[in-house]
Amino acid sequence: MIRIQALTKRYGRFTALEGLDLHVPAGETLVLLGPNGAGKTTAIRALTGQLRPTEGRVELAGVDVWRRPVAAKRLFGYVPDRPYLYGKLSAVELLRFVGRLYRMEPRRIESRIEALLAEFRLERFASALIETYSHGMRQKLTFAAALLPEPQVLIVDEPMVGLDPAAARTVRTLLRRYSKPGRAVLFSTHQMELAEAAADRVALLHEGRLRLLGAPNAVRAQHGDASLEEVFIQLTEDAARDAAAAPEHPAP
Amino acid sequence: MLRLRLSILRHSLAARPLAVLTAAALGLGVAALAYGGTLAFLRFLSSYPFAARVVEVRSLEGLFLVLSAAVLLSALPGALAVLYDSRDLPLLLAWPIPATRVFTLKVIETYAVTALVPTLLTLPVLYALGVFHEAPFGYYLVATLAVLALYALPVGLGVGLALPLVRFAPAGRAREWAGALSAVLGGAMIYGLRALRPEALFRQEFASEAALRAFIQQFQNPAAPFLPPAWASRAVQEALGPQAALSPALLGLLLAAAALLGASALAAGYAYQAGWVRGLEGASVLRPARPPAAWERALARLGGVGALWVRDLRLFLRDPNQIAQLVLVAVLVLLYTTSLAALPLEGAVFVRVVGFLHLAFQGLVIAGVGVRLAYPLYSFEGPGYWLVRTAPVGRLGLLLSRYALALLLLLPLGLALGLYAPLVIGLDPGLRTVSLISALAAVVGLAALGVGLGAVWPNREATNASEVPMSLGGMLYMLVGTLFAFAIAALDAAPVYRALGGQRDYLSGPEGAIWLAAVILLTLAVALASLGLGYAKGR
Repeated sequence: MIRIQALTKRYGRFTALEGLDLHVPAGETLVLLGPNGAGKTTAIRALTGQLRPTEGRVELAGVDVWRRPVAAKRLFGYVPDRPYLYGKLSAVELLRFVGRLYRMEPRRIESRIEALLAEFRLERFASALIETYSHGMRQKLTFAAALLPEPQVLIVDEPMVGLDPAAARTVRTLLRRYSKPGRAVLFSTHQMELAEAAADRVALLHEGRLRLLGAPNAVRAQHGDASLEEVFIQLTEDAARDAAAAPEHPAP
Repeated sequence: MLRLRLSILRHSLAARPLAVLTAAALGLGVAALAYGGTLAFLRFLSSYPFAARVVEVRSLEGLFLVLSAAVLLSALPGALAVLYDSRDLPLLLAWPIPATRVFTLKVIETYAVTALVPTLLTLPVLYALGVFHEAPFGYYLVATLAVLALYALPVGLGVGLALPLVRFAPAGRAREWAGALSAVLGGAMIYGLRALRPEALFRQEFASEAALRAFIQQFQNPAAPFLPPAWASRAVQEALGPQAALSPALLGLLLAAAALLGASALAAGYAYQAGWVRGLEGASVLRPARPPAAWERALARLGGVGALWVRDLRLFLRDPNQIAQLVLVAVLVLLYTTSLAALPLEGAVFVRVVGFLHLAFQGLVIAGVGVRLAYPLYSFEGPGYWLVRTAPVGRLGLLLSRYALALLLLLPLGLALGLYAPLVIGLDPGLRTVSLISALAAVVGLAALGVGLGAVWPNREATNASEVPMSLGGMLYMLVGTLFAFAIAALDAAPVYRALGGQRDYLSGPEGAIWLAAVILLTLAVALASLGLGYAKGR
């Protein structure tokens, strides 16, 4: 459903992402892990049509995101890491705006809005301006906006920032279950517990390259039953050590 | 705390040396201009000894009054930003420093933010006055103190006016209310000044010496003797004498400034710590969902473009800054048309000449308004652009929706200038048609130019519409927009020339058709090239 092929993004001499290959089939939740600056957000922005790749392709359900952007964008819902929402609109106005952009039927828009506002416990604030919302409420509303058209693919960058415990539980369950009826979920996080709880597979990025890919249990088993956090730290430190050593011991 | 501020200032200046040097050169240039201009004005006045002193005193008082009003207008939003909404305030208040000291520093910072430029503009004028009158050294001290104290008063007043705003404005909207209030007050002030009809001064016919003396006597009385600008003027005039001393006017000014600044610091501290700032922080309000309005449903039938318009109209109408901007545009149009109405136009030839000037000028007015309304339309997407960018909206749909909105915003202005102004001037029907077609052409071309260049050079981080055009694209818009306006005016020269020659049916002949075709071609060329550029290079 999500296919990333040889994705490379360079900014001048700096390579943010190099030759990334990933496939997320229908029914799977894939979690992108990696330290700050690993290339997670770059990959997600290329996937959502915001950042043109230097090389490689990204496809959603067979639709090339950069060749047929409008058709591709109908297929996914997106929650960015720092979502900015129009402060001068109310939640219900924002959701109607999103529904209309996706050309949804007016009645379906209203019924989805009702269901999603209830799910995220925002129904009592539905017509209040978003500028009066707390950070967590805005984050919940961003999820509601992404889920409104019931997209085949859900892409989320850092999902838990600012969420209260109840909303965090809702989102955790959502990320785990949303992919199961034949859809796909891809999200990035720094929270290992969330990755273990929600992921079918995890992908570890470091310095723009894919370092590890597999199911959480399999990854742990490969590393002597260490926790995902320990595996993460070990692999990123190894990579950093290798990188530091490389100039002193150049390959023959 | 002052050391901390100075360190921050030093680092910020060091980070942008070129910008600092440019700003310093610009500031020195303006100061030199103010100094030289004042000396030249005083020398000119000295050749009319019977009126020189009166005009000098009244001009100084007028300068103080206008700049005090300007400080007051910017002090309101300035106080909100620096005093109540400052990001370092929670940190400063958490440190072991008395709260009064923190708020005193903040009031001084508000002064620096709002009154520094008027102060630096006034001082060269006063120093030139001192040099011209060969004033003693003490004069310069008195003049400096008088200016500092004078502009401290509107700052204190602005801080005080901000208090009810942060207390009673709807949650999260105090800043916008302050900005809108300042803009509306500014507009009212400009229109108020225009209502005084300064052209009446030039129509004075002093038939006799007695009439002239009566006029000077009347002019000698200060317009508002109890207002601080009159005190400051009196203090400065008294210090020009051979022995500069601490006059009662200066003493009163200094005491009033110190008392008002001190009281405003105390009041601000109390208001902040008592939690009055709800208007800045916002609070979630219980409001269940409401059904969409009829107009919203009607527009939504147009699909994605309709959805964008619904959003734009809601955002526009709920933004007091945009409303204030519209009020200012309306004031400017009123000023323009009332000024035209006040011109003593006698004779058909003079009417047509002024009509041609209007034809040339209306394009410039539309370009000037377009830089604030059409050019920023892509930038107004703001940090929320991700939502549109990741939604299934085509680039062409987005571009055309922005263009239609720009047309909607500029069209009323075009009609006011193209239809109403020629009626006020009293142009004949032929030139009225020329004026209307030229105004519409300017609207169509300049809206496209604004949207196209605004798409290529957007500034989505800008917090205010006025920041958006401060870019290469904004300058390019003004340059090309001015050239386009002049090109239309050049084409209009032909019908005006024919009208001056007494040919009234010019438009119905083949030359009229050629003129119309040329205007349409020029407009389409500018509009299509601009929109094409926006589509191809838009970000």
